Parts: sequence; C-alpha cells; structure tokens
Amino acid sequence: MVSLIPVGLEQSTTDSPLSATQSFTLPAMCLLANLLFEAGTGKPLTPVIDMRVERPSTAQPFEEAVYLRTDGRPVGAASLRPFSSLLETLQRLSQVESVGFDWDSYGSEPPSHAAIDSAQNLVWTLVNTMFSSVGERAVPFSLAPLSGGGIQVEWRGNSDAIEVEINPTGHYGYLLIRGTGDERTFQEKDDVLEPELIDLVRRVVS
Amino acid sequence: MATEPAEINDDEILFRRLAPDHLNPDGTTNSNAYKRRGKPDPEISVDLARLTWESDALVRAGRPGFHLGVLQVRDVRALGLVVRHAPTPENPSHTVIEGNTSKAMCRQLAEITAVRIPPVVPKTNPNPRFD
Repeated sequence: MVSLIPVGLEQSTTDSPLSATQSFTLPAMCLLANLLFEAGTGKPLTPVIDMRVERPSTAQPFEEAVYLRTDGRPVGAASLRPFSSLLETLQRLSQVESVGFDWDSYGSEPPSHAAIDSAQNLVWTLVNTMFSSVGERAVPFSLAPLSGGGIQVEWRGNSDAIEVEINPTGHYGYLLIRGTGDERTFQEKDDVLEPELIDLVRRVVS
Repeated sequence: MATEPAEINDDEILFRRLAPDHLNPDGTTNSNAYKRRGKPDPEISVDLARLTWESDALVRAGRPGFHLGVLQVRDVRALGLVVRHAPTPENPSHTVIEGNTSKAMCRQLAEITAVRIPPVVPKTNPNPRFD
C-alpha cells in the first residue's frame, strides 16, 4: 500500500476508495511523466502502474482528479492542483524541442537530441532531489534554445542565479551570478561535469 | 552602395531583433539573445534607430512574431563594448556591438535591453459567416 505525505491536496469525497490515512502528492508530475513522487524525499514511486486523470466539473482551472491503481487494484483517489511551474517547464521543453532551423532569424540550428536529453535529465534530477527541500525553486526560471543547437536553462534563488548552457553534444557550461547591485559577482566555466553543476544549482536555490 | 559610416553618440538608440525564444517567461530578455553558435557573439548585429523604422527592423526577420530589443548606446558603452556603424547596401542602419566575449557580458546586455512589443494588428476574416 502506498502512503504519501499530503502537500496542498484536497481529499476527494466522492468515488474515493481512500481511507482517512491515505493521500497523494505531486501529481502534476504523474500527468506527464507517468510517475508519482513521495513528498518527503522526492523519490519516485514505482508501484503505481496505472492511473486515470479526470477533470471534475467543479474543479478550478488545472485542478484534476487522479485515480490510482496498483496491479489493477484501486489504491486511492485525490483531487489535486498540479504543480504548475513544473508543468510549464515540461511544456516549454517540448516547445524548445520543436523549434525549427533559423528559429532566431540568424540561421541557428534547432536544439540537438543530445542537448534535449541532457536538459531533461538535468531538470528531472534537480527537481527530484531538491523539491522536498526548496519547493518550486527546484524548477528552472527559464528554458530556451541556444544558438548553434544547444539549450540554456536558468535557476534563480533569493539573490543568486545560474545560467546552464548545454551544448549540442550534451556537455555543460555555466554562468554563476552571486549577489545583487554593486556587490554582484560573475563566475563562468565550460566543460563542467554534471555533479559539479548539480552542486552549484543546489547552492543557488537553497 | 553602402552609405558612409556615421558617428554614433551616447544618447542614441539601437534596435536588436529578438525571436520569441529570446524572451524570458516574465517578458525580459534572455542572455541567449547575445550568443551565437553557443558562444558570446563578438560582433552583435543591431540597427541604429535614427536610420531605420521599427517596422523595418522587424521585417528583416522574414516572418512575424519577433520583438524589438531597445538599447541605449550609453549603456552598451558603459559595459566596455564598442558600438560601430557598419552600413550595408541592404541595410544602411546596420551597426555592430563589438567586444562581447563572456557569458557575463551577454547577461548584462540582456539586462539593459528593453523589450518593445509590436502593436497587434487586428485580423479581419475575408469570408465572414453570419449564422
């Protein structure tokens, strides 16, 4: 039986096989990625193998109802308010993936498959490992194609920010911006390994 | 034949054509607008505002949906960059910003770029239906 920590969810009162002790969280991820994550740890929950998403007539915009099954057996249902910033990021990634040649009017190639894959992996890794501690700051502020076939992703914290460049072969570079105003400093580097990058993003948003 | 290069003073305005993917979700300019082939663009093409029209600067994109980035020459020079008029036969207003060699510079250029949204021209249906 799956037991999750509720995060801003309302329990469904109709057609719900849930007991009072069960609730579900972060369902927006499951809408697109077919995954549920445990709120406390951000760890993917693989036992959920089937789900059905419905929009109740009384729901607010973007509010959905999710019915979960394990091995074909209903385990719960919940109404939810999707994690909209992550939804937007994933939709944005799809948009970036579909830009064509000369998207910038200066003759740039569209993002390469390697850049798309690296961006997707990086976003998922960071959301998965940081959501429980920093919430929606784990989600990038922006995601955009980069001239020449790469992708640029930016995370923002309270006073710091980091621009991550992913080149067409999937390798990373970054610009780290620390502080604001006259005290602001810049640090930049190319050919960065993913663990170093993840550590930097974590520091920026924490 | 190209016109003679003109002197450009600090109070003048430059236009940078921005693709929809050069804008952040909050409508500000992303630093990717000043990168070429994944690197800082060392010679950024812009238009000198007094020698062109906003509409002409946008038409050079070849398709709709683009925005105009607006920069003041003084702000560009304050970053240590050179602004040089480089007219071409096709575009007498063509100007270049030289010396952009770092990601930090791209970021700062983006920050001094105001985005001008072109006016929306209402479309009319040539074959209206009256049900």
